[in-house]
Amino acid sequence: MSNPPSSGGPSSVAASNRTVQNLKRSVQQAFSDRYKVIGFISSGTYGRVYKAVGRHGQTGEFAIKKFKPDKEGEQIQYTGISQSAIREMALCSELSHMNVIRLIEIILEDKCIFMVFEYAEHDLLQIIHHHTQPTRHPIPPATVKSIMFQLLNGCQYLHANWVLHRDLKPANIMVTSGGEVRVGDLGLARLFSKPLHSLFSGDKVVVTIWYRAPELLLGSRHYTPAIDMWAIGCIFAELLSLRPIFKGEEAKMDSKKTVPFQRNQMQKIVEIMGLPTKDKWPHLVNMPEYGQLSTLSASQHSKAGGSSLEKWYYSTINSHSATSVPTSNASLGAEGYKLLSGLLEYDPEKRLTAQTALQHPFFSTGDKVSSNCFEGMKMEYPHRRVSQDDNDIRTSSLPGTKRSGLPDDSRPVKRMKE
Amino acid sequence: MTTEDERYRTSTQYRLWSYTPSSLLALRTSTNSLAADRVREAVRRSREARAVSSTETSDAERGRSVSAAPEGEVDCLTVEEELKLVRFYCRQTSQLGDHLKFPSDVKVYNAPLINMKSVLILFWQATAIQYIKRFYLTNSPMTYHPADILKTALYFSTKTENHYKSIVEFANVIGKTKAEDVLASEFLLTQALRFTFDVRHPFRALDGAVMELRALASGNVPAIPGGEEPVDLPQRLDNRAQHSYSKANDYLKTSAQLTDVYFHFTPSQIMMASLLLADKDLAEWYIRSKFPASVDPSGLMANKVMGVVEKCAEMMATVAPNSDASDVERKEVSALMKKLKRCRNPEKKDLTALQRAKRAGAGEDEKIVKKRKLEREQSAKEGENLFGPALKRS
Repeated sequence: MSNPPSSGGPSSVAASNRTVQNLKRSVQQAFSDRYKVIGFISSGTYGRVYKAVGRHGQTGEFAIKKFKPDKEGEQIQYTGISQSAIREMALCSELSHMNVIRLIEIILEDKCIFMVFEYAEHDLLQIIHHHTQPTRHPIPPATVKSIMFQLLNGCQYLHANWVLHRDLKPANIMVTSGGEVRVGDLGLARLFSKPLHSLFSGDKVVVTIWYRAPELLLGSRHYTPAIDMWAIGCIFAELLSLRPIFKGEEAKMDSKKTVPFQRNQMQKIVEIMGLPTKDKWPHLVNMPEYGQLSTLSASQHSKAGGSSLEKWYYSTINSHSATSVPTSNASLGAEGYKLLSGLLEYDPEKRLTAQTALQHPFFSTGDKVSSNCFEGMKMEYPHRRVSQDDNDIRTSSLPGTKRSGLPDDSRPVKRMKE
Repeated sequence: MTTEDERYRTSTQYRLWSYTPSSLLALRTSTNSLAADRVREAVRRSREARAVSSTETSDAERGRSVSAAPEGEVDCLTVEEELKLVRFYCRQTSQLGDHLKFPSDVKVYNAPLINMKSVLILFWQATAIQYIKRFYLTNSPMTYHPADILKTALYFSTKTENHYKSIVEFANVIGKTKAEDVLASEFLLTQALRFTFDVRHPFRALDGAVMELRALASGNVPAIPGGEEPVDLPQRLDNRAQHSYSKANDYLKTSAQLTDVYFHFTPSQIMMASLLLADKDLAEWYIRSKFPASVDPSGLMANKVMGVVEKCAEMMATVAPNSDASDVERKEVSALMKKLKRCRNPEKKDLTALQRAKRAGAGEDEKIVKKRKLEREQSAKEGENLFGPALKRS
């Protein structure tokens, strides 16, 4: 409680008339009167996402998220608006930041809820995938730097507003055609200013496994903004190497519905980061799955508790230079490594926060960070695939499509062959 | 860096749900008068319909019904009466909430000193109450009965406050209620809430304030970051801080929920006001310790804050911090319930049936498309009524 009470007296409504007008309109006019759907983008357990344009001269394009009603139990019992839809509506209405996806309006019609978002042409999954075709060629360093800065900036805003994203991964990071990064898909996000259930009630498991922080893998019930920061570290690594840095296989839940120890995923982390030690991570011994660590084998290099992340980093940023000198990531240099290792820090308390990461010398040295991550690029990324066929289920597994919804979150995104 | 205050001002609670007393009254007055007009219209329509059908049956009956039409003007509820009714149902919301057992399989963090389970319950009920209060800014109890809206709001806030319950179980525990009844007004509620579901409560601010007061009592803690340690500590500070916690908390749980303070003050102002009601000298010392001479040499800022907090406390003190209604209130409310029976909008009585009809109409044939278009035009007309007139800065 360090903030003094606002000094103003009873406050008048500061709601912009525009917002009120929008909301009013959304009740008056049904969805199809206001928007024209031009294609289908993706589907998930929550419902479907469509691309649309406005019918009344609204500028730009829109991504429409259409929610299905929630079902409960074995007999199909309508339970009203789904909790994840409500959560996303509640959060998105509170948020407004240039690096967070913008909610335009919400429309109710019959049993359906439509959330109208600004449309983003790209996402990081799609961009990364593009750089593996037809052969691997690195994402330009200036683009990587700009993406990281904007991603951290959006995340800093979320954390400052007590929002945990909880599912950061390349597919959820949108990029507009103007090169602006937008953190998207807040369907799993939570306000951490509110009392929280432990991780093991409510949503069983959080964060797609490849981006899951070690404290979660080791059974921590406390989740903090640091889990988002680990995921951002993984995304940074993936922007450099074009493949997930810790690509583990998920252990499935057993018949007793107990959450298993994710041995394979932890093993992948240990192979590069070395085994965590209680010297460097004092609370390690209190982790519920601490005992499991001794069964993991560190790689030859990192047996002594050492990390081979530095080696991984330099071989990654230099690997392309032999073939395609002009676009090498070597210019990201030592500061890039320091940022990466600060994000992929085992101890969540020592891990960089979004705020400290933004002030990292990585961003203040070398080239200036651009607010357009495509600045200076000669090529253009392919546009998001939009299907005309409403029932085309295959589109949901194409790269560049978004997946979310609780039952899916424990599984990594399927990719095209690499 | 943005300050907490600046962040609060971006919240929907501030942007959409904060009013001056006069703008709040104006909104309620117009909601009430629009609803009363519609009640009279609807009653007139149903009387006409009855008259027509009786013509078809027998002249004798018609004669009787026409002559037996002492049903003059409907006596509608006033704004004050509506407020009293809504307040009573807000009390009921907490009581019903207490009645619904917390599912035993839900695990929560237990922070030291704070029983998180009871905190969750507190947030859930308080949010439901604020939903009801917000709902009745633009809707009248004559149109939508608070007993119906109460169930929907309480269930809806299980979803927004991460306190998920099975709808079937929820309906069973309430009794005489089907899942369908609870959900019938869910869309109605979300619309009235303008899809903003995040309610900022003062509870955790109080936790923080009391923790800080106790830390100050132990010494070695500056009153403001980087500032000096306060010298003039009140006597028995630690003891008083602990003691006022439960008193202040009672105000926050009841008086803050049942009065209009959420519409007029920020959560931190409400928290400070509860502390003021619990221990005036302590709260004043606490507030003034935040404005040392180096920050506020003239004392003007401290005075301004004190003034606002006192105003808030005054408003909050108009409802005693008891969860039960007084006998006077009970009597008054039971008379109002009888009055409400006679002035309810006959067309909106059975929300479950209305919702069922609406959902049955979700097919695709032409007739239904036409019907929906009509409904849309209708709701376009009603839209103004639903949200009341455009809000003005005042």
